[in-house]
Amino acid sequence: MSVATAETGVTHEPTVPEQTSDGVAPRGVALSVALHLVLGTVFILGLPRLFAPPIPEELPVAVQLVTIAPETRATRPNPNAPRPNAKPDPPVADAPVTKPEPEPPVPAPVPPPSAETPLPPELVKPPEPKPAPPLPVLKPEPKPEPPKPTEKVEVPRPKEKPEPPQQMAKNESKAEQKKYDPGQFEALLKNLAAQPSAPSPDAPPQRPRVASAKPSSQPRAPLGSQLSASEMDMVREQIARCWNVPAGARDAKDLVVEIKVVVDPDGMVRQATIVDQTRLGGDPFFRAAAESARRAFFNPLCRPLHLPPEKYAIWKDLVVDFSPKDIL
Amino acid sequence: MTRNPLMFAGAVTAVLALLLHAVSPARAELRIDITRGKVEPMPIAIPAFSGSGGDENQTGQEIAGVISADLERSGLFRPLDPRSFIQNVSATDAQPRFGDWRQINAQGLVTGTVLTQGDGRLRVESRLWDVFAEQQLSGFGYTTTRQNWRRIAHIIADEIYKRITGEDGYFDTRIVYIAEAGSQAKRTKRLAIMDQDGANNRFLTDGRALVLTPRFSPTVQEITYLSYANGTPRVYLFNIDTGQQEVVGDFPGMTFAPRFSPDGNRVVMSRAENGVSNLYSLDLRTRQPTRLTTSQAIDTSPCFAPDGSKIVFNSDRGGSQQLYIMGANGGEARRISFGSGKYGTPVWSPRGDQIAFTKIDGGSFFIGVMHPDGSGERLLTRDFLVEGPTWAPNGRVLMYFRQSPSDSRGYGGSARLYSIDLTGSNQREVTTPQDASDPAWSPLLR
Repeated sequence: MSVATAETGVTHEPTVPEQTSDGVAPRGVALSVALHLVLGTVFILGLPRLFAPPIPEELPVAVQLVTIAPETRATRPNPNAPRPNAKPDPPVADAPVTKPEPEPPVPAPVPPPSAETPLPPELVKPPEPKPAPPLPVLKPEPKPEPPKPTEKVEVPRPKEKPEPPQQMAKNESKAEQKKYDPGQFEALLKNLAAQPSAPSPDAPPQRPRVASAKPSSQPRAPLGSQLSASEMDMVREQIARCWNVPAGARDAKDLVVEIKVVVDPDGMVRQATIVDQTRLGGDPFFRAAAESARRAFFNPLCRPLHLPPEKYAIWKDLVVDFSPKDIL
Repeated sequence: MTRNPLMFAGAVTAVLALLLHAVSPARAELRIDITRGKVEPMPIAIPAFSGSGGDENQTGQEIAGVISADLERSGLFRPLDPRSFIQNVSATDAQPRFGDWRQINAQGLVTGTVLTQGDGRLRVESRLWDVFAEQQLSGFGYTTTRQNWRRIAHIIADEIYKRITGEDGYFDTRIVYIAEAGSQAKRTKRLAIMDQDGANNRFLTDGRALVLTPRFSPTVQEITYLSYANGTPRVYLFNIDTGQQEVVGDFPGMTFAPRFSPDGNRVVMSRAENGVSNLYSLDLRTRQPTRLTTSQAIDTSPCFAPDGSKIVFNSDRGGSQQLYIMGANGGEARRISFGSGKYGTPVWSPRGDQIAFTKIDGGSFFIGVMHPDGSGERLLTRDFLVEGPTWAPNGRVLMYFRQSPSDSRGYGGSARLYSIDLTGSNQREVTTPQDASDPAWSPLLR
């Protein structure tokens, strides 16, 4: 077996002995292996470029390190600050009205009635507000839905096809380029020092769409019987618009909220159930995030969901994973 | 021979995989990943709490107003204008007509009742509803004396904040600060205390002695601060209940920059001696001082980590003023600030993940935060003079003071308190009757 291979110097090649033992011409096999090896090496390393000019050495590029600009933006509103209301709070530097309010009735925030009336000075030490045992449920709720666990939410749908949502969606689309740009969340963390690189609302840096690249988003189905990428994107965008993220919280990175959704043929979500019921009870932050995610499906902007009616069979049961990991 | 079974197994696996692949679409639900959302205040409706008559209705309205103002100031909620409300909630017992609230786009709804009990005290009950999901999120009830209604409102606002965000609230808290008045040449500085929203302002000292840097004890009944009461600056304790003041530790020379340990049993401070300053801690029970640093530099502004294991402080031992961390009992210090400029007044966040500081760079002051390992430095606000950051007990909001000069040479002007969200947004003035500086946020009062 190793007779022939000795001269080619590839005795260590493990596949050779096996093949020769089968009785195939040993010399031919050895030659073939050798040639393949050569071919493989050439393939990996590439042909030597004997006559190519030497690659010019990278010249160091002079970079001027500039300290923080003396100009501040502290008094400028954070372009993407999460506060749409322009309440005239006295001399506050922050009234970012970057977001046109999409919802039809935009009531102004409450003027704090009598908020600042100082009480008589003898209120040195607050007596006893004595938090009486917090009533978990003040009185039995007149809402007997015994068969359903509390987490399953059924929302009675308006009888007729709701005009308002449609309209809102339209209004929304006008504002949405500005409002839901992907760079929004980086801008959430304001940093004066890094301000120059902060994304402007008009030219958001396109961040890689983590979610859309995920294979898990795609149902394994023959082509034609699954949602197209653009259909998927559309509903993803829509749900993202309905999800009011509890931002700025600790450990938000590790959080994934899984919600099972049952959708009616008209795109209305009939039921949205938080899957991880155990964590729902024990982790207040998870509960807040999970409920905010579930709320998304009952937001008028997501009623109905924009899904292709002819593919109802595919989307009548959805599992939606909400994860704020890209946000903080 | 040995290959055949292998080949067979391989073929079987391949066929199985193909079968699985073909079968799976019938069973798999469509999965959608949402990694983005909108970050905007939650629209919430807070109609006046209902009572059975004049006084009760008045209090009910005021309570709803304070809750609204608290939540609105947090930047995370957008209380809706009561004029837009369709349903007139009259009693919490009845389930709200959710359709009416959905129509004005309220996501949350707070209802409540105010009832005068037989003993004259108030019984305030409140519920938080999820309008979209049409269910009650939580319910709470409190009994208190009538004049204490503001605290009830703050406590309810805290409950709502916690239920919706998952984090503790910070509305039922107070601020102690230095109230300033008079001309620059004859400035009086008094210790003052008020509720977190600026209400119930009260002066604790009479202004005869200059006072600086007040800090709350974790027990909330005591304040430590710097006073020039006897000519020399010394660290004092002030008991809010009794009004009693006493010098902390019988050190020669001057002591300053005090701060309580998280358990309230110790005070760390700086002591100046022979042109250098070193850090000391004093056990309040034994009155036993411990020297923590022995440098030939200015070590000052010590602050404990919330778990009490470490101390962050600023020192110019390396040439310029920078932040350092060492063990709670002293020992080797590690520098954590490496940016340009000088760093001072570090304050460890109550949730432990950030250290706030003042930075002076390029002739301006900044308030910033960084992680305790020195990474992730972010500057939140900048001005001619911004100083003295202090954390809300949930580690989410910072307060500081800002002084804007009235002339070009940097003289005159007024000092005011501001709060800002950890994200750098939602900067707001905290209204005080006089000029104000050196704020210190109390823990939750409960």
